[in-house]
Amino acid sequence: MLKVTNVIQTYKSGNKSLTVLDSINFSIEKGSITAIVGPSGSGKTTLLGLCAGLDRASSGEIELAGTPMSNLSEDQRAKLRSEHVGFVFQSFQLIPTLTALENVLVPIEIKGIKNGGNQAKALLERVGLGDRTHHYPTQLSGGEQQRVAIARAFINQPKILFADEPTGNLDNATGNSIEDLIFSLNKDIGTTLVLVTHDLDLAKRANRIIRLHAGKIVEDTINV
Amino acid sequence: MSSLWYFKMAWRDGRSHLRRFFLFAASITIGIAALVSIKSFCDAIQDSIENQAKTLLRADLFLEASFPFDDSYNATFDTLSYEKAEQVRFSSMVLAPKSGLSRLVQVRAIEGDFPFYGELILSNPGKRLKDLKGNQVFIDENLAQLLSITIGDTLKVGSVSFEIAALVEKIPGEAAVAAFVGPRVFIPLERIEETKLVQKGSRVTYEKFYKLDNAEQIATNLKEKAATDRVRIQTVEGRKRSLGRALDNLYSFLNLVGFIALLMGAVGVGSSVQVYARQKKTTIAILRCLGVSSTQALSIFIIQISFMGLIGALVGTLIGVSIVPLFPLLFSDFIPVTIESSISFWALGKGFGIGLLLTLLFALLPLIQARRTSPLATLRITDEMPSIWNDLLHWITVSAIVSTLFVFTFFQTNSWLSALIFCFGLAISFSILAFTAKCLMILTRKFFPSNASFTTRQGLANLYRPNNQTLLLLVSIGLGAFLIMTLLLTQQQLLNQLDITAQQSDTNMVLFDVQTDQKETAIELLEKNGMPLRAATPIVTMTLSEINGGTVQSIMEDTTRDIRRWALRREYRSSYRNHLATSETLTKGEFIGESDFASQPIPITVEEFIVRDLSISIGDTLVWDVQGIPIQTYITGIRKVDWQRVEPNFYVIFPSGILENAPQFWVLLTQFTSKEQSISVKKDLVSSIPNVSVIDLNVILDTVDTILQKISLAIQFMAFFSMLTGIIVLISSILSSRFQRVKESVLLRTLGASKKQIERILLSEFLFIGILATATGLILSVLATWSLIEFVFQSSFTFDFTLILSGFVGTAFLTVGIGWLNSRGLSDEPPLQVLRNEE
Repeated sequence: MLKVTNVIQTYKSGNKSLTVLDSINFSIEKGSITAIVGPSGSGKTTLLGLCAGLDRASSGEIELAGTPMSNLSEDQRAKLRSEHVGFVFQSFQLIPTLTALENVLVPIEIKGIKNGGNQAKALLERVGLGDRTHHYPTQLSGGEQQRVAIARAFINQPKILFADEPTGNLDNATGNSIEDLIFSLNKDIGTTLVLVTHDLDLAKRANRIIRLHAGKIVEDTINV
Repeated sequence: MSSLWYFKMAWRDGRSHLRRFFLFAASITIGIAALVSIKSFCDAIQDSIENQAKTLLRADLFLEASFPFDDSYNATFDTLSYEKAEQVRFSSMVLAPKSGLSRLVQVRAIEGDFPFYGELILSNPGKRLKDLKGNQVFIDENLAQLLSITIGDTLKVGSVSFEIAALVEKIPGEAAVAAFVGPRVFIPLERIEETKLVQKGSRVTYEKFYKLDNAEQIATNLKEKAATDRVRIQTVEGRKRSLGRALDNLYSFLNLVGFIALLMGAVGVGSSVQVYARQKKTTIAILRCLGVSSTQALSIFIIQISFMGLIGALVGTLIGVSIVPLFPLLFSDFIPVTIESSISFWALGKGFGIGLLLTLLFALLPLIQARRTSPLATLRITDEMPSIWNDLLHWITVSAIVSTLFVFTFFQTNSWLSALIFCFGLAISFSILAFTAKCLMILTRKFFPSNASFTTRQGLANLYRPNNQTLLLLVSIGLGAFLIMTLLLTQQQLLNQLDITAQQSDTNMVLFDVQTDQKETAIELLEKNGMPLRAATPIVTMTLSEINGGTVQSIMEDTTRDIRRWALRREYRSSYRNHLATSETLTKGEFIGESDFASQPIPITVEEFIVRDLSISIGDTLVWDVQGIPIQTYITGIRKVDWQRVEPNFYVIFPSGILENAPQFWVLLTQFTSKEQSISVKKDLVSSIPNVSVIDLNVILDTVDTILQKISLAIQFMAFFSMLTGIIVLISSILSSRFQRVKESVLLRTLGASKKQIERILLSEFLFIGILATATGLILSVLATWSLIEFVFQSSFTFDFTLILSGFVGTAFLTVGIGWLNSRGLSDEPPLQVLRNEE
């Protein structure tokens, strides 16, 4: 589903260049759950951004859903995302001017699918927000906003879901319910899940843990 | 995705910003209103000129000369069928025996059924100029007020006492303001001899008006003869063209003002949209994460902005239509046609179109930049905007803005060069304003006392917050203040200057057209009234015949020579003396004071302006026709003349010993010390030597004041457009940055700041904006006024502290008031609620 080959990411700051990711290689099977862990500044978020096609690697190749991305334009990568990818962010990233229902509808509307209202409502029902469909993000709590974000991520039935610290901004109890929600939806739909997290308890629920340190993979373990 | 989705998204995303969009739109409404109304007004003038073309000339053909026409002109019309009217006009004093008041007026001795086209409106309907007979006189109604007389009273014109038979309310083809400059008095042509006002040396204009067919053809046939005889011919088409040229400056001024208001509004929209685009970065990043391309994301916001532009342009057009009727009220006194106010659909379309286009282009710039927001912004929050330097679409939009400005200006001026100069001038003007504002901001920050109170320092710091619009506000409010203050300062300076000249000079009354045999009588009358004779200057009229051996006629026919035609054809009023006057300095060559008629060529000195207009220099020879006698001269010196001085100055000065016996008249300078003295001497002069014209500086001062007030009302109305746009941009900008202000206030309140402290911070911020913007406008207006006074009016600038201070305080308070009104309630709501509600 995802194949990362010899990826290097460097950023230039004045005359100096900083290598954030160094020779990263791994591949992820369809339907699996992978957690990418590591201390702050280890390159987790950068790696997630590259894998999801949000940025272009300095060198190396990333193949998403069978499509190599190094030669794709930004718009081609956007199309790929709209077809195969879902996101859940640490800071929810809902569009503040849209209601919960409208936020959930955006991905399918982008694809030109009409009459998705019932599907979106069902998903909101599933995440426990059936009675909040017409609320704006500012009228929802953090946990509720993340539920909307999850509903939005799954409405497209993505082949792969990237989640960046999905519980990072939430308290333990709410975080746990969000985790349960993501895993249960993942199981229902069969999506490949890639999690970036600090939370070792969350990471332990994954099939596989890739540990990063200073831009390199220092450990790649399979959870039994 | 379907195109409907873009509209759906634009609506969903925009519905909570509707108030904000209306404010953006408001920024351009005034500019579009100005453009639409000005264009409609200019079109209305042009239509009126077209419709009233014959009224302008009041005849089909018009001949004018400074001497009586010879019979050959009558012969031209012998075989034709025509109607004719004749008019002889000149300046003269008139006396109202009833009030004892006198005034310099323009006497028009008329014969025939004039005007042939248009209606001369008199106080008693039914009367026409052809009814003017015997001892009847028609006078301007404002003259009746000035002299405190009315119908039935007597008016003495030269040696004849006339009875006022009607008051003139309007003369077709003449601007109303002309009545203030030279009030008009109509007398029958048959009585002109009896008035004894037309004497040798008097400046008299002879006019003939014809109503006939084929006027253009006759004018063409007469053209050559008229040029030789120094007769001016005008047809309806010619009058239309010359008036059109004269009004071009008015059109340019009005369009410039409207365009500046629109441009300021468009820049204001661009600036507000920039704040909006920054706030939309997250939305764009999210949409891009979800698979929307940058162009698709841009489309959503373009729809929103187009809607906003459309609303702004529509409202602006409606306002423009509603204020069209105001223009004739403000400008009709200066335009010699009755303006038939009408709505021009072409003007509406043009104003609407250009307004909408400029708004969209200016709003597009920040959106184009924001569209490139990386989807990575969802993972890492950054305040930076994407780079524009390598963005082709950005530069295409910039080029489109420049081209639109250029093409629009071209259509206003019909000249590529003028359009280029205008655009360049506009860029320079805005740069100077922006540079001044920037310097003031830097200096204030650098030298602001560090021990100032916390609230004041915080207010100042707010000017430098991220995404601030401080510079735009300083420029837009500064521009409004600049226009209005330059106008007021210049007007005040001119009036002060005249006042000072009248008070400081030892001369405040000038007697013109005193014949040599009347000189003694005039001096006796001055002495009788206790007024001193300051100077008596002889004047000899002459025309130019040859320059360096070439006749004036041949020079005029030579199109390669850069010589002003008026300078070749004019009647020169020259003088002679053996010394330089106190108002003159010799800049080149020498002044030879004595000569004799036998030693021709005679050494003369000439004034520097006429040197430029005739393209002559020292050593050149000129032949003058002094009332039939040719006199050969050569230039020995060039003089610079201070034309501001209250004494007669001359383009050409002859040495003593040449013109003493030529037909001449005199100018006498004197001084009165009281109004009664002025009234008394004028009454005596008009009674004894009525052909003498008296110019009283106090009367000039009153006249200039009246005309300036009329002009300034019109210009202030125009300056109001840019000032109002500045105010709307200010309101829009304050509301755009309200969220930022709220966050700052909430943070400060969370940290323990009191409501009063927050209010003081906001007050300080607006006070700084007001002070800096006003200072920007005032510094430039003082500089502009100084340049105008020194270089255009060639006078000396004096600093009017009271007026400048009033302008400063007024504009600063206006800014603070508007800022304060639009920020009210900011510190009233609890922090949490504010944070949840504000977007």
